[in-house]
Amino acid sequence: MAVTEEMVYDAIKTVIDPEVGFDIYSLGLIYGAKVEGDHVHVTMTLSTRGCPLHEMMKQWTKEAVEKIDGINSCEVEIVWEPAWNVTMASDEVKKALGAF
Amino acid sequence: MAKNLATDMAPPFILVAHYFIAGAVFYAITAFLLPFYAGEVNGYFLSSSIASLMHLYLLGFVMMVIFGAMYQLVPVVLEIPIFSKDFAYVQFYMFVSGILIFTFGLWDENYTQILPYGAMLMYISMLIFVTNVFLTYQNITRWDIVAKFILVSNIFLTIGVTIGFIIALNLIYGFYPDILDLVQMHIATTIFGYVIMTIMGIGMILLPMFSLSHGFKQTAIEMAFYTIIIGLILFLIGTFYKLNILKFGGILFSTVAIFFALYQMYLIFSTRIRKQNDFWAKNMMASFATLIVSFFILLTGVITKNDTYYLLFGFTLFFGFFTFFVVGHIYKILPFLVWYQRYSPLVGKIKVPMLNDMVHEKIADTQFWITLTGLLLAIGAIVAKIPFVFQIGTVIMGIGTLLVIYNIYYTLIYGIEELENYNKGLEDGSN
Repeated sequence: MAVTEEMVYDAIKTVIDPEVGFDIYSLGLIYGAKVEGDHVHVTMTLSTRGCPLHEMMKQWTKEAVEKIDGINSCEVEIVWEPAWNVTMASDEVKKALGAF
Repeated sequence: MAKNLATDMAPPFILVAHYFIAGAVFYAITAFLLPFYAGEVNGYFLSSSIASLMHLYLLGFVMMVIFGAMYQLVPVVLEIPIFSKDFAYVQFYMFVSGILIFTFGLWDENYTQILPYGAMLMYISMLIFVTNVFLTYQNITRWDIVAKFILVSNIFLTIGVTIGFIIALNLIYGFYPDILDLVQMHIATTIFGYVIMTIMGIGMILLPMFSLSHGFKQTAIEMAFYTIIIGLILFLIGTFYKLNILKFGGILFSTVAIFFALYQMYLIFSTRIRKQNDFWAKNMMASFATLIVSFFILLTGVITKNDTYYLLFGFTLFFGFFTFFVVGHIYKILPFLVWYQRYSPLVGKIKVPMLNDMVHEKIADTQFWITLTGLLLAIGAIVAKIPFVFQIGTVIMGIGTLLVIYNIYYTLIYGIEELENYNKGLEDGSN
């Protein structure tokens, strides 16, 4: 069975930001995932530039995606444009953070 | 191999832990000594015993924690590894021994002769720190406002500690008559030029990160950056050449800079997404409130030329602003360091705690209110010149300190037993 973007997002949902307490997909940090055969390219951002979790977030995302059957490698690219804001997060996250 | 990604730039946990644990010990020592200073409420603010306590607190606690935090933050903020981790260890041991020798020599007049040795150790240790920072900057590619603040604050630190070392030598050899001028220049460059500028700079990373603030303009902090540099340069030239108009201009510019920075902090807080007023947010609000109060006290002192206001200014700035800011961030940075060391390799294997779980929230909250109560009592006692009330206030502040120490211990031992059981399970095959 071919790996879909949805399957990649489900894997990424297992990565939790330990400071905020939500998964990085629900936080809106994932901008896209492109599946090319057994390789995945993930484009993501972080809530703050200069976050000490920067490298770890990349690593966890990569490891989570590489656990998917049929995926051999994953490249994670951190981008700063567009800058993250809370409107990118899910309604559940917005509510929990008091952003509503 | 992706395994190295997380360790490429971060310093070892044990390095930063050195600074945080030593900072906690010096915080406890200062809290224990503070009530014995009740008699100074009626005295002169530049006594050697007050200078000894202030150095113990500023160097041992405030700057110790800042140095530790900088080793953690500089690589991630500047996106380059720190030049030398070995320098950081050498700096630490020289710094701790220097503080102990220097403050003891300052405190007990029978041991004044050891003071320059302590000062020399501290001076060299600070030079090691700034050299490490400057050499790290060799490879910098991103010049944002935080990078500018860190660079300039370290230039002021170099000037400030050089003046400090000259003062220490002058106390023994008496080669420069206007020691008060040097003291003022030393205070301006170290406290305003280094500590406050560093707080302004790293505040631009820490405050938005912990409050999840976005979409605010940075014009105010940029104005603060240039205004405080102009203010400090004017103050230094005015003091050295005894040109009061320049000195006054320097104070004015520096004050305006502080208010620009405070306005920036207000912008960050007003756009924060995390609305919960947890122990960190309370500490931040109290720190900025005490900073505003301390500046009005300083201006009153300059206008009235009453020494009590200088004492009150120093007390409110040190035990209000610095304490709340540093303690609030210890509650954020230390859990991250312990979590990184203990849990990051286990992400995806076991249920890992959130960073906030690693601080005893109730104790942190109680500690905040106790510290604030003690501080307000002690400030009131300085205004009313009542030593007994000062003693009560500082004892209450000391209880707050003990609660901070407990929470540091709580974070440091968090999850050890659980992880030992997990590792045992791996060994006997049950996990």
